[in-house]
Amino acid sequence: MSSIRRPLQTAWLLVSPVQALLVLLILVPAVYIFILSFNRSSFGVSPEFVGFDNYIAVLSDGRFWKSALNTIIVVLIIVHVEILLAMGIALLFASGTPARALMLAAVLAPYAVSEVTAVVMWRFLFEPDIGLLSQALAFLGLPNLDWAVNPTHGLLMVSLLSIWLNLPFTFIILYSARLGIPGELYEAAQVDGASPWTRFRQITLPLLMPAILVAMLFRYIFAFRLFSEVWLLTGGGPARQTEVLAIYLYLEAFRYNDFGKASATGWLLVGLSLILALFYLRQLQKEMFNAR
Amino acid sequence: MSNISRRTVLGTGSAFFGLSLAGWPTGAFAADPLQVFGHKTHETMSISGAGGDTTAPWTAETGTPIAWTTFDIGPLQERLLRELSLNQTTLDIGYVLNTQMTQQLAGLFEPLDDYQEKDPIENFEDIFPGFVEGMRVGGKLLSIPSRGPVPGLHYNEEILAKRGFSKGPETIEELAEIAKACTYTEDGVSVVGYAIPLNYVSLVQMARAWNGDLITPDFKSVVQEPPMVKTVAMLADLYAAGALPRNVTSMTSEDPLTWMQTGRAAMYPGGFNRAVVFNDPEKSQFPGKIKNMPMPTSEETRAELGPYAPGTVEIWGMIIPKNGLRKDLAWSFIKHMSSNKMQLDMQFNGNATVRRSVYENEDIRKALSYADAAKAALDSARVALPAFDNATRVADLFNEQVHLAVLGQKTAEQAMADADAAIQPLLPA
Amino acid sequence: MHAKRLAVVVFKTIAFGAVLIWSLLPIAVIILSSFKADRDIFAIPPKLQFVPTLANYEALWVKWGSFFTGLANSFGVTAGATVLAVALCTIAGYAYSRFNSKALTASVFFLVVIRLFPPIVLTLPLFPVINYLGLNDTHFVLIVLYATLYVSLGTVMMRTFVDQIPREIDEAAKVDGANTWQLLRQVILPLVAPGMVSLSVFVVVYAWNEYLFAFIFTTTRARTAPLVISEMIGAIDGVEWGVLFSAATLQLLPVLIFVLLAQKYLIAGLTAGATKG
Repeated sequence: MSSIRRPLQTAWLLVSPVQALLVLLILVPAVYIFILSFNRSSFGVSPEFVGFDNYIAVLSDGRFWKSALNTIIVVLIIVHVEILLAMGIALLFASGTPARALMLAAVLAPYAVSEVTAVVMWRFLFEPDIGLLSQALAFLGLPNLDWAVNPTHGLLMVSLLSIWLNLPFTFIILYSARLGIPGELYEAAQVDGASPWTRFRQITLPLLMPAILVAMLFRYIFAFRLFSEVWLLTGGGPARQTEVLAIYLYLEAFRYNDFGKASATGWLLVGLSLILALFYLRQLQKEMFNAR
Repeated sequence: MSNISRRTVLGTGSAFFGLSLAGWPTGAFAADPLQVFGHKTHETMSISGAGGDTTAPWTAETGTPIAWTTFDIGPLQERLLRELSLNQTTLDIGYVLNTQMTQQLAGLFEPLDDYQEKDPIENFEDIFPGFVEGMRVGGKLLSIPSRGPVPGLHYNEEILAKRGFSKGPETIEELAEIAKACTYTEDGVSVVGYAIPLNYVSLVQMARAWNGDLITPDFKSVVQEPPMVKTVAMLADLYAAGALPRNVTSMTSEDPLTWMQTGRAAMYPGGFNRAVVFNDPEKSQFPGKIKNMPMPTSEETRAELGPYAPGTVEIWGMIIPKNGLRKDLAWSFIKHMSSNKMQLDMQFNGNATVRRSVYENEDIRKALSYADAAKAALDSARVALPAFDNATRVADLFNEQVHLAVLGQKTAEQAMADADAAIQPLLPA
Repeated sequence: MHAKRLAVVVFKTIAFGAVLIWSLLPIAVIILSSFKADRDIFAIPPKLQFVPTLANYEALWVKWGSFFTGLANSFGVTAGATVLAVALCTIAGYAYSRFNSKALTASVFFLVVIRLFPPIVLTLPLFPVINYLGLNDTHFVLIVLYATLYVSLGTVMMRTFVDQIPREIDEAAKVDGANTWQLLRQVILPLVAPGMVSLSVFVVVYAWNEYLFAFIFTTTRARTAPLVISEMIGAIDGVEWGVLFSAATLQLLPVLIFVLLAQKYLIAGLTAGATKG
């Protein structure tokens, strides 16, 4: 049977369940949302076509731009700090680890924690005056992390929380990639008298690149819709100064029930994250399809 | 992986899908439970406490159990509206706030006048008339009030005494004075004077000391007028003096409760019914020491308004979905829960009753120290915010400016002027 | 030379210590606090010595029975989503590894790009449709949604894993007369099993902890544990931190244990996957 069927047909058959799920549950609703973004719509009233009004309303809203800026800053911090930390820890582990299984377990542990629980934890640790870490900072004579009042500290705390939660994801990808680099390469380099830095630049970094790109791309996509951490920690406050795009969207959709404006925000969000991820998408494309 | 274990895994997987498919809803049966959407508090006050399970007699009579689904307040409102926007819903009862009684949403709720006509709730006039009025849109009664919490002022007697005050504040100015005096650190414990959640309800409650408001019942913004500006200025001053919690702008309406229970705050404005958790030895370090009183008036308004400010009320009521399937059954439940006896029992469970006679009941007055104060506050009460389409957005815009002023980024006058400018276009014509 | 080695040892010790504290301190605090009485939780200075109590767990059992139903629901949904996602990703990953055409390349790109769409917006149109189909508040809808949101990463991952298997093995099986299905089941599947375990870790963690869709699409029967916890945070009588911590601990432990058990496969699988053949 299969030998008669053309090979590509088989391929499409095999990928069709995955593609069908994405088309039915993401693409079709996304198209509907696109249509909705040109309508005024809410509970208790039927939609009414308003042209570009929703887009104009969003784009002329200072809060949208403020939250876009916050999002971009936080995403850049999160993704890059994570990559650096993950790389550092991965190389540390690769250089020999006492009680390897236990140490790995420890590093992976935060990944199992839900966002809700993580917020509970970090809030509790940094609770003004009484949190464990607040007391520690005070004991060391350091200024407290004023996350509830100072918007900069608030965003810092959000970044910290998000890095803590997602570092294991980035770490595991980089660490396994690092383990995959054959030891002979390093031995050969050592024989040639290459310094550790040269070995890192010439061997580790290039061979880790595909993994770094995959990790960064997915972290970009996920970090861009950062929601629960901010929502449960600062709620976007004080005075909406730590708001990120997903919260802006949530408020329009689920608090003010302005579905048209929320839909428009959704599409603007897609556009923005596409711009941010474009570089990585292109690199990934090169890695994946030109290299073979 | 061996063949056997692989087959086992796949087999378990498909068996699981079979189970999920079997779990599909298959339509309404006669014995299906009554589906109720509410807040955890609504469930607790209905079924547990000294007053017992008030739904039990109804279940015994109709053979219908109750299925409670509870949410936090914001999600409750959103989820309920979502359910009501479908072609039909299996939901039977929903709890709503008076601010949801808007023109735009009115069409989603079943009008209840005919039900009340045919099969009346006993002694309906006993329910505070202001509450019932708050549940009408365009003359139609859309919801039956079931809970009307009215905030008072709670204070920790022990902390106040330590700083030389033998009783709660007599004026709002004295409140500020006490708040500053009760801000101190002793034995490593920092105490702040006033743990206030910075939302419109507590702000309006304070502004009532000058008989103020945010939006009047005829939808005029009075946010720029002296009462609200004075309130915001006072809070900004208290914050600068360290008398509000450092993280006050991020406090939820529940956070101050922990502060009071652990003795980290001296005073807190909020529902009288909180007295129960403040004085519970299991939860509080100061059982019996946290007293309450109605919010006092200002020195300037005392002569005109008397010692206590007009109360600020939020009303919860029950609605029947317009797209519901068992409306008569739902009404019989509402009728049962609104009866004298059940409202009385629910009060023992921690409700804030909607019936005047409950606050006058001798057993209640004996059991609940705050009954008289709550009734007094209710007698003069009006809603914190009237209902209109953009009410949520207006409340949020107001909160935003209050936060900026309290944090010292703007003057109170400037913040309230900005709030007014943002609010004006959103008010009903 | 000796001093240098000592310096390395000291540095590594400090580095590993920092990593341990960073990862484990918040978790340890929560778990320990769940055994403290409410009044000890906020004690200043923090109490390291305390009489452990199960009172919080008892209170959780008595007051929040829905939490335990939630755990059961989480378990069912997680198992279902994982089986579904891993199965679909494996066959798709195989196809993307073994076949090549412009359209296929484009479709793999579609996999990634479509995920740029924020899931939160999808709930607007999906809710009425799912209700119309009578699927609201079923495990089924969460299983399918969670699987859908993970098939992008999953397919890309599985494709890399299949890439590691020499094509000669396929050819040999085909010469023996195996059809595609037999080839997949009897040859590919055993070889990519470590990869499947790695992928399942990602899906399990996601499905177990997911909040947004669970919140929108469930009411009572399929309600998951994170929802109950978030409700506890918003409890109107003031947060009972001790009870909250006990719930957080119970919600955390199963998946923590799973991740730790699967860790060996995770590393091995991903290492194989990362090595370009």
